[in-house]
Amino acid sequence: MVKWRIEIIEDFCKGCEICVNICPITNLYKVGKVDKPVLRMSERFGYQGYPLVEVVDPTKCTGCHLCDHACPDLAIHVIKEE
Amino acid sequence: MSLEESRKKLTQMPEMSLARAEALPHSLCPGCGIGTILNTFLRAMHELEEEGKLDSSKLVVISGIGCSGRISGFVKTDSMHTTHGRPVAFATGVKLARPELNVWAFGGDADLFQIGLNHTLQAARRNIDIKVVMVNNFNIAMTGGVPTVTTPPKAITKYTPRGWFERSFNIPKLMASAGATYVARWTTAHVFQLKQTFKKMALRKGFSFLEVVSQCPVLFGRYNKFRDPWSMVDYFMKMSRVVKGPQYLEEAAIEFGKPILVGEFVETEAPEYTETIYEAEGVVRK
Ligand SMILES: Cc1ncc(C[n+]2csc(CCOP(=O)(O)OP(=O)(O)O)c2C)c(N)n1
Ligand code: SF4
Ligand code: SF4
Ligand SMILES: [Mg+2]
Repeated sequence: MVKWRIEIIEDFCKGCEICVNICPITNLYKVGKVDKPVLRMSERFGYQGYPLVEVVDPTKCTGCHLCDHACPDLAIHVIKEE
Repeated sequence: MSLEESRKKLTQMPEMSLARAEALPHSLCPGCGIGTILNTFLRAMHELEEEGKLDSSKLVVISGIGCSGRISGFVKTDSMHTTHGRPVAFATGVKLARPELNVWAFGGDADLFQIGLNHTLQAARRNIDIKVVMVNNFNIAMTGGVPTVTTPPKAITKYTPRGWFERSFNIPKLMASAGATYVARWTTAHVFQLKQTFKKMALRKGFSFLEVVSQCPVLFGRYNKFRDPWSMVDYFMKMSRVVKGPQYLEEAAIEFGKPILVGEFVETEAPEYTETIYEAEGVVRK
């Protein structure tokens, strides 16, 4: 099975929450269909003073690439693991 | 991690090969749709280069003034940040002088359809091989949220607290009437469609026009009951209807609460301007 790694460039993230909301698995988590989300907002703040997004369970990532294409700040990257 | 290290990390991402890391993180607000457009554009150009279909040293990205106009500063290609309303005029000049280049003009609704309207229409009429991308964020964002030619009727802006009282341009219909041989519209919720359209436009010959319906959460969304960036992207996603063909042009104007038609409205062929001129003047094309 293909595995995916999610890299977040924290200094770039502006905490807009688009990635969290667009992620299909995280949406399934919101309606109780899976036990953990892939992404969520953390309690930490980044270099620019915005709240940061964080990865909770990368094993659930299906590699759909919606989050890394939609991120306005080029801050999140879904990478295929060999 | 220092900012320098973060920039280095960005350059190590293969798909970001054309991002100008030293100019990033960019100056756009959190959740601004222009960032999504930049992101998908960078990915599209990278993919074309990987596939051997495009040489990024031949790419030119030109933009005007506005938040949308900042795009040219964030790409690692030849670029020009020109005067307000003139990206298409500069692009026309670049293309005529160096026809082998792949020329893009980015601009906002006001940049391309208010102050620069005439340039946009004339370029479409000539069918010159440039690729024009209009960021429709429903307002003149850079000067503080002023209403514009695409502000939907009844929309609230800082300057129209009781609602905007004008009709807006039907952009795809306008471009089709001007003679554009390719007219498409997508929103920032359609990230893969955006990427595919950028790739298609890069390889197409003739005038290609793309309108991207985009969120300006700070100066437009907030005033119109969109509490955060996502609520506007979500609205675009829910309200979009995918169509294909010129028969849908008539209904393509955007109004609140009505479906947003997206897709390819026009795709035809016509003689290309640069080629016609070079042939007529007997100049050998490089
Ligand atoms: C000749 C000229 N007139 C007016 C301005 C002021 N101005 C700066 S940006 C802008 C409009 C930008 O609106 P738009 O193209 O929609 O881009 P947005 O900021 O919404 O992305 C205007 C009128 C200017 N810079 N130059
Ligand atoms: S990673 Fe990108 S999309 Fe996600 S919160 Fe940060 S800036 Fe927004
Ligand atoms: S003012 Fe609006 S268009 Fe300009 S950067 Fe901010 S969100 Fe984007
Ligand atoms: Mg605008």
